[in-house]
Amino acid sequence: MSRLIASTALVGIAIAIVEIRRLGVGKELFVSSLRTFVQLMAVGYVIKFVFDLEKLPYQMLLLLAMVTVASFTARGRVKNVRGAFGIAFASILAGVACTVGLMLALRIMDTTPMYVIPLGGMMIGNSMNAVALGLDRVSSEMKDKRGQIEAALCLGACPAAAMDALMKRTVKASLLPLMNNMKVIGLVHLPGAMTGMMLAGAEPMEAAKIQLIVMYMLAASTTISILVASFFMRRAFFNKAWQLLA
Amino acid sequence: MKVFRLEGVELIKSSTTIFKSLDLSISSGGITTLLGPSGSGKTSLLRLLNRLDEPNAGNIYYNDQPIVSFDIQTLRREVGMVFQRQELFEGTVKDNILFGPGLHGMAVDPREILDLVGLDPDASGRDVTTLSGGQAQKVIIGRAVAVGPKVLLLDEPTANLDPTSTLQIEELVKHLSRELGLTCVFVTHNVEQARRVGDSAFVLIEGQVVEEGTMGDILAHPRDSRTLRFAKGELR
Repeated sequence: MSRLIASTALVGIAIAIVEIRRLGVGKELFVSSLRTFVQLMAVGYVIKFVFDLEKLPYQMLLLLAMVTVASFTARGRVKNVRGAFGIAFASILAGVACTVGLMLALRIMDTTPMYVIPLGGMMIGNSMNAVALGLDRVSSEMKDKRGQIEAALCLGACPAAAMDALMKRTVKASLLPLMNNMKVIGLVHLPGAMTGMMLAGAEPMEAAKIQLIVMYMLAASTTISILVASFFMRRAFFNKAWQLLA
Repeated sequence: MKVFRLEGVELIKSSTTIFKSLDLSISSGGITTLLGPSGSGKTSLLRLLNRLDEPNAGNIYYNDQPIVSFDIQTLRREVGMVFQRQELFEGTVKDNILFGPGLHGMAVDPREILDLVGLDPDASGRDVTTLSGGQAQKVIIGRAVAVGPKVLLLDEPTANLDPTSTLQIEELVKHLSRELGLTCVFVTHNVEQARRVGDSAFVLIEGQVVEEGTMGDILAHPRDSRTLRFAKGELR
């Protein structure tokens, strides 16, 4: 507890500096720090509660709630993608469900809450970011590339074929943060799980192995999520007569 | 034989009435020009003819069959369209020419298509970003022709071109209509161009067909007072 109290000095110094320099973000930094405290403490109690329950259905319910919140966030301010929430929900859920299922089947992960909740949360967070990037990208490209898509339709292309080039660019852009992260992991930064394990006293090699599993897990869940999202996004802009919606 | 027939077509876009009750028949073969000032509904009409848009009311017939009875892919393959804005796909000239044939499993030699539209067959490997406006428009026309359409809808295809390229595109359209037996519907707001290109013409003003016939007859004996005002450039 004393370390936690001491750590507030770090953010206190940061707030003091921005206030002295009159950068205008002191209040926001203070509120954000407070929110971080409240949210992490609250989620700590919630997870403790779920850990104590130890039953898989409860863990799944918690994951489902997390997917719902992530889907609202991923939808963001995207206005012109019909059914954006549904696309985000289905794709994040598919990514997490497939990966968790595979990890349980291959016995990479136990069904204990200690594994399912934190790893599931990591997958949901990464899938959410990829899907949010995808929705944002497809939303802006649809405004610029509408003419090209109609030109493809006029040649007899189905919606999926007309959107093919755009969707390839979208999937690539959505996976870019993950790819970059994987390229520089261990070289530029030590990832969270590995750092956390070492701080908790784990052997560095053991921490590295767990981190490797985490990265492969994230690669799988994020890729599945964005592929499922792209499948639905291809169809979100058209009616049954292969006409672009207004 | 009428390739398109419109009966009582109503079209409303974003709360604006484009057509209230449009009746129109376009003959098969040759080049029909759709002439009219900006906002008269020329582009909207073309978009209805290959079902990029749907009318709110009325009927459209293609080759005497309701247009909605055709499989949408078959219809769009038969009724090609060239847009006013040059919409080339990323990649090379060849990528663009083969896009349509690739969708339909057709074997097409891009060099033959380039030759047909008056471009150097060796240009097939060129990146489309290196093309001039006139060359780009020829590639776009070639791309449309490559899937073997029976009708070609051209929405002001020379709008962004210099006078030399404009004349080349006009000659190309006439050549394609003659050589391939293509029915062409050519949208323009230029009276002289309509006279140069079209075998017959419709004058469209405020969503209504006000004139129909050859350009010579229309200008000699206009039925609507707005036609001459448009021809003199007073209506834009």
